[in-house]
Amino acid sequence: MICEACQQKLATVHLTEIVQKTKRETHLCEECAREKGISYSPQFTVKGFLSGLAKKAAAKPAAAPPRAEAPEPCPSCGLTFAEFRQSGRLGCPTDYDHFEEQLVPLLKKIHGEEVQHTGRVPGGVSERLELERRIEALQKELDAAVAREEYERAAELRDRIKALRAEDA
Amino acid sequence: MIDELDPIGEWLSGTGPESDIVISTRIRLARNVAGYPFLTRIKEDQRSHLERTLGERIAVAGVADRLIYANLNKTTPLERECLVERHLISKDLASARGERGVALEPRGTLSIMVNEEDHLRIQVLRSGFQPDAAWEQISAVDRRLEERVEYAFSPRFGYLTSCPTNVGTGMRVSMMLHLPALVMTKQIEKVFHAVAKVSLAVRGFYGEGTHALGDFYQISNQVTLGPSEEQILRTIADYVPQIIKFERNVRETLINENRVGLEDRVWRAFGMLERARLITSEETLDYLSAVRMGVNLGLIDRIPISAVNELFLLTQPAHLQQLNGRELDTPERDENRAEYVRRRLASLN
Repeated sequence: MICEACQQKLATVHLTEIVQKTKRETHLCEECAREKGISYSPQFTVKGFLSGLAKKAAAKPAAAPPRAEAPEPCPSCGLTFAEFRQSGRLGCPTDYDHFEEQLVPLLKKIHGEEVQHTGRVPGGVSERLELERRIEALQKELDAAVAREEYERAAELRDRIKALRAEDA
Repeated sequence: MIDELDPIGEWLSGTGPESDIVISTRIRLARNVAGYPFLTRIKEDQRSHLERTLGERIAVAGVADRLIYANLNKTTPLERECLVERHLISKDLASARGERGVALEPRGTLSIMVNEEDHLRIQVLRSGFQPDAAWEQISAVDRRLEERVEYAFSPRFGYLTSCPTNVGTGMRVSMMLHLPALVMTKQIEKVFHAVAKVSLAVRGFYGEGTHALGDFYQISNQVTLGPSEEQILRTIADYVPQIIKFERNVRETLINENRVGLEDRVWRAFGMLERARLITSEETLDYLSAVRMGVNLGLIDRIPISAVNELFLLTQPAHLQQLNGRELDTPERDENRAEYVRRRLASLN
């Protein structure tokens, strides 16, 4: 992975910020991280890390309170996350959506950083999925166009997304 | 049902490519039916419904020329143990309770377990190094089944499985390797370290922990989510030939540097098998391992490799009892095993 700031060096500092429900990931090389004031120290200590977080929280009083409470049991099968922790087995397909927030870090540990299936998909699902992926890609382009204030291009993209959504329905 | 199966099965025939070192290539796919809880949370009636309907659908899906389906609840523990020894069902499925089953292609190349840890566990097992043939076969089976069964699937997480270690492709590729020379020269550790770097796992096939009985090792992929099926297959298919080469080189060195030492080891093992009056299954595995290498190196020419493979299978506890048609306690088994091996080797002379 390449550093997002200088676009040249290898990103070795990976920062994940979760503010309310949105997660933001930043990948930087050591130098750019230092420039941006993100302390990178090989003598990493838990205490230092925690106090760093505390300082940051103090500087941003508007930040959401830590989400420490346990997630609700799965509405479909009734499994609690604590039960899953004990058995290591999920209870039903819905658990993957319901406990997504808790499962993703675990899946990263098992399978690596890319938590996105790229293999085969069941027949019938594949066309739909293909459509969804296209819509998603166009949506990203649209967001970028809006950010660059290219409104003509944005309108064009919006119409294409609309047409694909109609196809999907 | 055991007597409906081919006597030893395709994977032990010793006919596949590189089968002096690669015993078998196995691929399994984990699948669950949409709209049902996984087996840990399933209700008894849902479980029997799945066993019945999946059994019926597998039967008509056209996944093999011939298929034998067994409701495992209606089989004896000994029959189930035999299926475990043939690698056609898992230990967990054999010892589980409740409605569960298995569909088997008579030569053992395909087995589909119903209500194991996941609703469906599809397995293809082939002799020797056959990653592509195995993938082609299982891929076609999977496609046929999905015409009749709606799988639990998510665009992000792929095929949804009870255990998060299987999610995504639901695919585990494993090759069983016979590595006596690497064990003998204490170089097996190197293989362990090297494969960990490409996120593959190696473990002893028989026995617990690090002590691998009979020098059999299983190498398999750890990651199932992220890479595609073809990428997972390639990782193993590209890596295993390097291990094969390593083992072959060491065997060659052993022969060149100390032929008589190697011959002594092989023939002592042969002698034990030929003469012993009481023999445990652990000892049998060790001696057969040395003999197997001896046959593959041309040091022993009086018995074919298929006979050695057959002895590996038929001297295991369940098969021995099946051959005798009755249950045997451990001392009886050791006597019986020694006699069986002795007679089988004599018949080949």
